[in-house]
Amino acid sequence: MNKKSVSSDSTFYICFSSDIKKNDCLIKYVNAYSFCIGDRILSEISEILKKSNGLINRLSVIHYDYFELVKPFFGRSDEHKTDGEYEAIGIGNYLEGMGDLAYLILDDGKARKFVKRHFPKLDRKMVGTIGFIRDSCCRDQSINPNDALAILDAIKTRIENENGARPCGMDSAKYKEILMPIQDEIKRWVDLQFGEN
Amino acid sequence: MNDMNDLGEHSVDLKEKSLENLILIMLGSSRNIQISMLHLEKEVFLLWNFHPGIRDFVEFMKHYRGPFSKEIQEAVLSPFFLHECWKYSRPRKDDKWSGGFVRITPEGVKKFEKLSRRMKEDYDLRQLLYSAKMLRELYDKLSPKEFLLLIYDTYPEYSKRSEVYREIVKEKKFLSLGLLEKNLIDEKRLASLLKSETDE
Repeated sequence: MNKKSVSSDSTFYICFSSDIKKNDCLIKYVNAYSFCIGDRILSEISEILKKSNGLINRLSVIHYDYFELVKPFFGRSDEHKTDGEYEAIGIGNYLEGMGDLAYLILDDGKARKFVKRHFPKLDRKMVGTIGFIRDSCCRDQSINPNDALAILDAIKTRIENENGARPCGMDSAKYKEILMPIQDEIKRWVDLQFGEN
Repeated sequence: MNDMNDLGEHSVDLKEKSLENLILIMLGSSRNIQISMLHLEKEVFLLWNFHPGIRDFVEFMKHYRGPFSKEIQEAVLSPFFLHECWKYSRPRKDDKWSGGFVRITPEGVKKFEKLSRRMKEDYDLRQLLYSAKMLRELYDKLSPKEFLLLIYDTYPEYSKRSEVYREIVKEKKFLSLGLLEKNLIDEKRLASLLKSETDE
């Protein structure tokens, strides 16, 4: 069976490598899904991570600069030169055209609004990192619930223990609103699936 | 970029054929069967920046209406290979913005479908095909003036000062606020448009 295709911004990869330091879990994800990535996003990922367990070889790299297609909506300012979010959207659009896109992972609020504003078809496939962790576990059953819960727990711990830490764009206010309900959702799903009579 | 062109030989005929195929791709990539000449040209320009293969058969130069391609104009008005695939209609007398309209014909739709089926089999051509669809989806909803404003602002190196340019600059605030109101740009882009140096 073909793996489901995913286009993601760098925050997803960085969350595992820098924020919660769980490269082993990231490898489980890239083994379970087909991740497509562009040069801009790739440049945001550390060299150590790229080499870690041959991660780079497990990603499909697209060498086209998708930001060029949306550039007039952002202008010529250099501040967007490294924006990976719009590359992820462009690649998502390409995968959607092929009928392959399962998830577009975006954590950045502005990029999410851009998708909602311009690409209703992609909007239906858009999730944040936390939402993707839930879906990979409860919907696709591609990731073990213990792993999913451990990842969420690590994100939560990072936010609680380090002032100003924002793994996958999550801060202390957002994690109560987004992460905790998803943790509960996964636990409920586990109870339903495996019973706790 | 085989098939789109077979550009290995770089002959004039092959370049022309590639360009006409590219125009057909742009025309067929939306349910909207008509596109303004301005939209077509600027969308191809964005594709030109994105896909290096296109640079083999189209050039863009600085112009009073932003990046301009003589080849596109000529291919739309007098196609050499793809006859009956599209129809060009001149702009109305009071329309100085659109540059006229190009409408894909039923024959063009058939040829587009055949061509896009072939393109889907090639990695590089697939990128081009789906990017054309993305461009139509993104920019067709802009009016010619709105599109020109964004183009002038983003690519000043391709924009000559002119009567048309000055008129857009004069309406900059109105057009920018309109884009925000229609939820096509965000506050940040509004601010950058308003403070930009498109003024003379």
